[in-house]
Amino acid sequence: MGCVSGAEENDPALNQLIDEAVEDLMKLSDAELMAELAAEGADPEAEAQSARNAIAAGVARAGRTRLVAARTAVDRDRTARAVRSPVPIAMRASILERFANDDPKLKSRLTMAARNGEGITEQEMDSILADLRELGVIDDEGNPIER
Amino acid sequence: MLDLEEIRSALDGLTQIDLVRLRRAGSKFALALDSTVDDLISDAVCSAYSGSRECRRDLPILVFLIGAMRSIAWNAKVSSRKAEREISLDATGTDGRPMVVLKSNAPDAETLILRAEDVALRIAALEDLFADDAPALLVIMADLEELSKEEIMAMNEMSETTYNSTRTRIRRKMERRFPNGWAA
Repeated sequence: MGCVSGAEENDPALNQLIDEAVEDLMKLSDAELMAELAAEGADPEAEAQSARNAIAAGVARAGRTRLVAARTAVDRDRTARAVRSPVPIAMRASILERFANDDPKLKSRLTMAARNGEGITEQEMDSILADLRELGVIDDEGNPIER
Repeated sequence: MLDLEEIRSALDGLTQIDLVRLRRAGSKFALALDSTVDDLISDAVCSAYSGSRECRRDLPILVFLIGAMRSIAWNAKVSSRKAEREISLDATGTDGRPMVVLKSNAPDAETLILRAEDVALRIAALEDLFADDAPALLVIMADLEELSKEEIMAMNEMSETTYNSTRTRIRRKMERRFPNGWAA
C-alpha cells in the first residue's frame, strides 16, 4: 500500500495557471485571507476541519504502510532463517538437471563446471534451490509444485 | 530532517488559517488530478509520515506540504515513465514456470486521446467560468501557452496592478467554483 492514490498522468497544460493561483494565495497575509473568507461568507472552521480530517487519514495510511513494510520484513527474515531439512545431494542434482533442460543459462553453467572438472559447489546448488523455492517452483522437499 | 514525532508536532501546530491555506492550495493542484483535495492532502501527509518525502528542519510544515502536493500532481508522469523499466515476476509461461517480463505503463493511443480530451474538458470549464471576464480569459490563455508575466502584461497592455488584480480574481473564482478540485 503506497501513499499516492490514483495513477493518473498529469498534463502540464494547466501547471502555470495553477502555480500562479497558488502563488497569489500564498502572498496573502493571514488577516487578508480571513478578510476574503468573511467577504465570501465561507466557514473557515469547516475548511480547517476538512483539512484536519485529511491529515488524520494520511497519518493513518502511513501507519498502515509502515505496518505492512514491517510485517513483510519480519516474514522475509523468518523465511530466510527457516531451517529446512536438506534435500539429499543426489536429489539436488536431479532437480537441477530437470530445470537445466528448460533453462539454457543454467544448463551452460552446469556443463561448464563439469567440463572444468569442478562440478557445481553445494553452496551454489543450495542457492539455486533456494531461488526456486522462493519462486514457488519447488516445495521444501524439492518436489515440483504444479501450477 | 524532521523525525516522526516532530512531523506530528508540526502538524498539530497548524492553525485554523494555515489549514484553510493548505486546503485552498491543494484544491488548485487537484484541478490537474482525478483525486480530490482531501485525497491530495492525505497523500502529502502520508508521504511525509512514511518517510518517502523528507521535511527539512528550516522549512515550515505548511510550505513543505504544499510543495509535496505540487510534486505529487506534477510528477505523476515521471512515475509512470519509471514504471516502464520495472521488472515483473508475476507472469508464468505456458509450462507454468515463472517468466521475467518487462512491465510497461506506456499509454496506448486510445489512452492518450482520452487524456487529451480530459484536459480539453478542464480547459473548456475554465473558459466557461471566465467567459464574461475578457482580461482574465486572456491571462488564462497566456498561461496555457506558458507565456511569462512580462509577455502577458505587454501583450494585453496591462499594468502590474491590473495584472495582479486579475490574478487574484482568477484565483478567487477558481476557489468558489472548484473548492474540492476537479474530481469533486
